[in-house]
Amino acid sequence: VLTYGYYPGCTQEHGSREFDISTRLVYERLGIELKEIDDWNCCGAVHVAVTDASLGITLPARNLALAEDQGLAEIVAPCTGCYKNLRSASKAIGADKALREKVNEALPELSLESDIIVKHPLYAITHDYGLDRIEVVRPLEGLKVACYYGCVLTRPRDEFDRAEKPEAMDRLMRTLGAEPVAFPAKTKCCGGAVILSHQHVAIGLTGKVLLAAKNAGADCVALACPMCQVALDLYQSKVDKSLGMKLDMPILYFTQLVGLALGLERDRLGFEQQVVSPAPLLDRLGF
Amino acid sequence: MAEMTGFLDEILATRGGERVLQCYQCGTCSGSCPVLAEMDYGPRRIMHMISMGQEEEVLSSPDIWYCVSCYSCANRCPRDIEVTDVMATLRSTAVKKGYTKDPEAKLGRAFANTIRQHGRSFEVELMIRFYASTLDVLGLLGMTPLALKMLSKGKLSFVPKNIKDTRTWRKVFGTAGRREEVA
Repeated sequence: VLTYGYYPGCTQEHGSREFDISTRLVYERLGIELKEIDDWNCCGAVHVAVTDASLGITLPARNLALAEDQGLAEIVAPCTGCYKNLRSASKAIGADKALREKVNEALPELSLESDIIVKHPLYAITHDYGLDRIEVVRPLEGLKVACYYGCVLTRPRDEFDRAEKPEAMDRLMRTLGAEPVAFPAKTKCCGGAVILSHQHVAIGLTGKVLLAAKNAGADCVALACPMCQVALDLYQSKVDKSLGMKLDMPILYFTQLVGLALGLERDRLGFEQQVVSPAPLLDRLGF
Repeated sequence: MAEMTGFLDEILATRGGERVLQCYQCGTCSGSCPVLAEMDYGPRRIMHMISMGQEEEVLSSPDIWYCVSCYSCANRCPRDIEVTDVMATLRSTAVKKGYTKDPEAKLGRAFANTIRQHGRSFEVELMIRFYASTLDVLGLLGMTPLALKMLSKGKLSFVPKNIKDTRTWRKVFGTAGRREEVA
């Protein structure tokens, strides 16, 4: 049985609870075991390193050291920001002995000796579990979905997907019976990192992504990042204002759609948490 | 403050900054940057200015604070320069040296102080710290409708979720972010 350490990340406790809930439910249904890393801490996002560059490594490293201590050699992190920070820190430490020593000095009562493998739950499903093993109970027939990868799910580039034109989520959606639309903005940034400090920038970038999804004929956007979800969903009313149109585009976590196809009940998957309601769409599809 | 030539050496000594001198100014980074229109110079010229040791121009430029950390530039750089990581280095260097006019610098400090306190993010406290440091009343008012939406969707909590091991956590964190006043 596949087992991973699970790093939920801060947003999974409040703002993106539906991502956490649907990830756990989907993994349980697939028979993949998730063991939450005990006493995990914030990965630092993009902001903490502004105050001290070394924290960009030590904060993720504490989580890696905890995982090692708890016997978890491979971990998954659903928030792509956390995923990027943990993955980059693990690789940087693995490639640099001096950095490992420095990190271990900075971690009281912990030490990181191994290279923890960090995966995103999307790639754990497509690469480790295998699409051919997914038993689709309720196909997502008639659903046109724009698969949005955003920036750091595929960048810095890695072995899981192509950074410029990734495909794993599209393949997964096709497996579930949905129709992924041709979506040229799939790797464009939503600007989430500066959404509080430079809102107009994020609204502009998010507008381009949402407009591309609309023009591609998508019924909804599927994504894998709480920051992107906030930008595309919570801020959609502000984007509407800037574009002078009502987009009415539901923004769903890919795990919510996997859950539906696996036969999980709609009311267990947190759809009521989305600001732009997916209810009319789900009604139309018969869920 | 370091001298003109010292700045280049300083960046070359950072993780990700080692290859800055390999830049041949092709402009792939600026051509790939989604926020180039907001910038004074763009990443290509920033790389050049680093190599010329133009510390003050680089560290006081708004460009480093508009970077959205999307890794489009670094992913395409034909010289394998970690442009995105260099931008992050420039931000922390700017803060260290007192160039902290941008609200993003204040957000970084507000975020660090929130994390220091709880070990995990706590949105309500982060917002209070951020808007208290920017004194941006209009910005705060503009956020109110969104905050109400979050509340109605159960996405905003007024109770932080702290990590358990607070004793060693403070040591991990060091002194980062502590200074509340802004230079």
